[in-house]
Amino acid sequence: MHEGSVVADIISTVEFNHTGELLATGDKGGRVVIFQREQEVSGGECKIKNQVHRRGEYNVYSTFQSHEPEFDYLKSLEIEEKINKIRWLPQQNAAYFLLSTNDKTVKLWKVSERDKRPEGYNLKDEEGRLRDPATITTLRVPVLRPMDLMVEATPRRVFANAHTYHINSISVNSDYETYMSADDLRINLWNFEITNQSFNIVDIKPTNMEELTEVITAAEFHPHHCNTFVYSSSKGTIRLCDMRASALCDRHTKFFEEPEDPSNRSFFSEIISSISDVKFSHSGRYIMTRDYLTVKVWDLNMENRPIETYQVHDYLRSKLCSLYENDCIFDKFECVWNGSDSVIMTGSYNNFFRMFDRNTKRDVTLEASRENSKPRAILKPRKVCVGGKRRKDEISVDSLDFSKKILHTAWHPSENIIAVAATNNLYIFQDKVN
Amino acid sequence: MPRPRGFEQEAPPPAREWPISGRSARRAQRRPFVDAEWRSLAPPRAVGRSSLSGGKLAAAAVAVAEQRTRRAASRVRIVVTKAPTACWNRGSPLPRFSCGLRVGRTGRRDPDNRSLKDTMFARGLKRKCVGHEEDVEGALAGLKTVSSYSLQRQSLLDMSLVKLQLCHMLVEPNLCRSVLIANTVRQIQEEMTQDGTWRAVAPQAAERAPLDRLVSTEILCRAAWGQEGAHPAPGLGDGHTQGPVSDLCPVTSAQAPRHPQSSAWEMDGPRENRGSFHKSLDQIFETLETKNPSCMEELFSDVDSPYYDLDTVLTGMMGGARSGPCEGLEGLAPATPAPSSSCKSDLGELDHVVEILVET
Repeated sequence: MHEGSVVADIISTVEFNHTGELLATGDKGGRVVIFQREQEVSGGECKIKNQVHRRGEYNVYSTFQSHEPEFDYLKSLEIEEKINKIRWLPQQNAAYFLLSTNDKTVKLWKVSERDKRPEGYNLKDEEGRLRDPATITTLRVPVLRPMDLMVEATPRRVFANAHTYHINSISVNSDYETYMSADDLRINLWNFEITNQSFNIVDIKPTNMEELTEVITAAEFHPHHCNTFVYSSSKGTIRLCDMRASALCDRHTKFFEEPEDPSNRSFFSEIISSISDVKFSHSGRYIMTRDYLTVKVWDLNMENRPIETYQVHDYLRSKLCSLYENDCIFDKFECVWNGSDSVIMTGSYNNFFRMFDRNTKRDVTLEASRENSKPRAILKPRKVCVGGKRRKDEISVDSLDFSKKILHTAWHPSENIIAVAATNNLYIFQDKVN
Repeated sequence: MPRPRGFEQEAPPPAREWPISGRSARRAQRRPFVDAEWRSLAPPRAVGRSSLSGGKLAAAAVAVAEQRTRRAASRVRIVVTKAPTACWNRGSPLPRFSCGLRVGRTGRRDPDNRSLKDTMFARGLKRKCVGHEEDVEGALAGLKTVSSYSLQRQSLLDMSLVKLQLCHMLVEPNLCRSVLIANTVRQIQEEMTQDGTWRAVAPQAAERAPLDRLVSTEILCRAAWGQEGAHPAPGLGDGHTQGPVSDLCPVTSAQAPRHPQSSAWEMDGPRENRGSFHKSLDQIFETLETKNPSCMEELFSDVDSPYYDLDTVLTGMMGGARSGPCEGLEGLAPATPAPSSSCKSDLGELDHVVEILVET
């Protein structure tokens, strides 16, 4: 596995674009850093070492400040600039477009390259200073000359003031004209061209806030059907809604919930059943949900239980009280599909992340850390031991570092390249077979 | 509701700048919340015991037991024989403190090492494990099993309420987290409500009792909550006689024989307490919605009124606009000490709250 890492602020979101050429990360400081994959060295001599290592590295392409901290004067609250989500738009011209959001405001950014600049202005000199009109004796036509590549990011749209609560998800619709933004209690539908209006399509806010027992935790559009979307809740349920049915999709079309296992019931049952992420498969046939201890794959045609359940870190089940104490139980882990929907990946503690092969039912635990992996070194599978006997190389549950958590990961849309955000480091791993 | 305040008072969080302003201040302040929560749940009075019981939760539970015993003249004392477990399943055997004890056992701890890496738990508290065995006092062996579960449950409730209050003080409360904690609190409350009358009933019967049964036990619940509500103000109840059974965990409180006098006090008190409890949960959500500092102040003063009156504290006078139980207490003056003195005795414990109100 090949590795690169970048030190930044705490990374809060990671996302590949639709071709996998670009990788965007957002951090707590409101910055967006975009990495671009190096062009592969052509010539077919990929077995040569130095050509192999230059193949497909991600380098910084652009950095810009997406959101600034704000102050809500009405409520006397600070609005964090932390980027909660980034979603790329499919590329339609030479420029790249992405949506980035903090707790309250979504912004559409255009990232474009400039490699030529005009020279030979009449009214300005080379440094840009205005020339004295009296000194101008001839006219010339400005000429475009090549320059060093410059990547500039400009905010094209700002979608603000539509959310009372904190935005947790954004999702671009397959029609490429609309997108939705979901906060704790409402989901709004936007048109990219219109920034002063949005449609509210889901509203679960009770008239009496005292009766609030459930919030929206994640939402996503179906990858192919522009009328279908799902949203997950803190009670471990997923609702699939069809926008054709009504303007306000408070009544779901499908309701996915797994009956509770009575033998595992505890005071923390509800908390650990809260879904932190929901993702459609690329095929659009399945959805994957992540709750605190498991990842579940659901078939859209079967609502009463998931078709697959994977234990991410079941050894934490007996530690739930402590995790509740230190608030770790509220950590929101994300989950991702690989390009072919055959492998799913999610993060855990101690900088571990897990991959589950849906076909072979095999799983692996890997660690994203500087100490354990050198560049181009192969990642060693890790194991957490639960029993008393600890083998060599195994790590015991009590030695896990709960401040090192991998919440955000991303998988290249077609290749086996993954990006793993470990606090303020970004790790990019590549399958060497590829 | 006042219960978690008791813990907070006994170990006020480290001094920090209020009100919050600026990103760095906010960041700097965020971390102390975790520490603050920690310290607030580890009352100094119980520190001696906590070293034996080896756990923050045990410390909380023991402190609860201590307060109860102090309040009444009774020889029955609840002592946690073993520290609570990390996962509180109903009907689980006598709990083991697997995490903390294992930490002690490996013997690889630096005494001063406080990193999260080495402990399963939040930063700040060093867990000492001297041994599993506790001095067993009190004659009610059967109750210990039940009471330790109830104590754990109570500790969980206290912790949840503290979390709700603390997150209430954050600049941007995480609504999902608050909702989940509030649901946990409701769940515990429901269970305690049911346990109050049906201690011996099988677990599944206690699951979803029909509404009418809940209603009929409302009076008892009030009393039970009054029990809880009065705990963080030990001074108030000192001179107040209660049935010996009421010293035990809330499980048995509903069965306590009620003196007319005590019931009058408890009706006054718990009604306020219960109202405050509900109000506080509700207010949390309202305030989450509207969110401005004066709401916080309001919330705190309303919550605190049942057992001590901030006005009283600040002005040094008895009575006040929002003293419910205080008024009740005045009516029972012979039986109870003057609220002002008890309030003053708690002054040191109110520092944190006063600091907030004054500086906000």
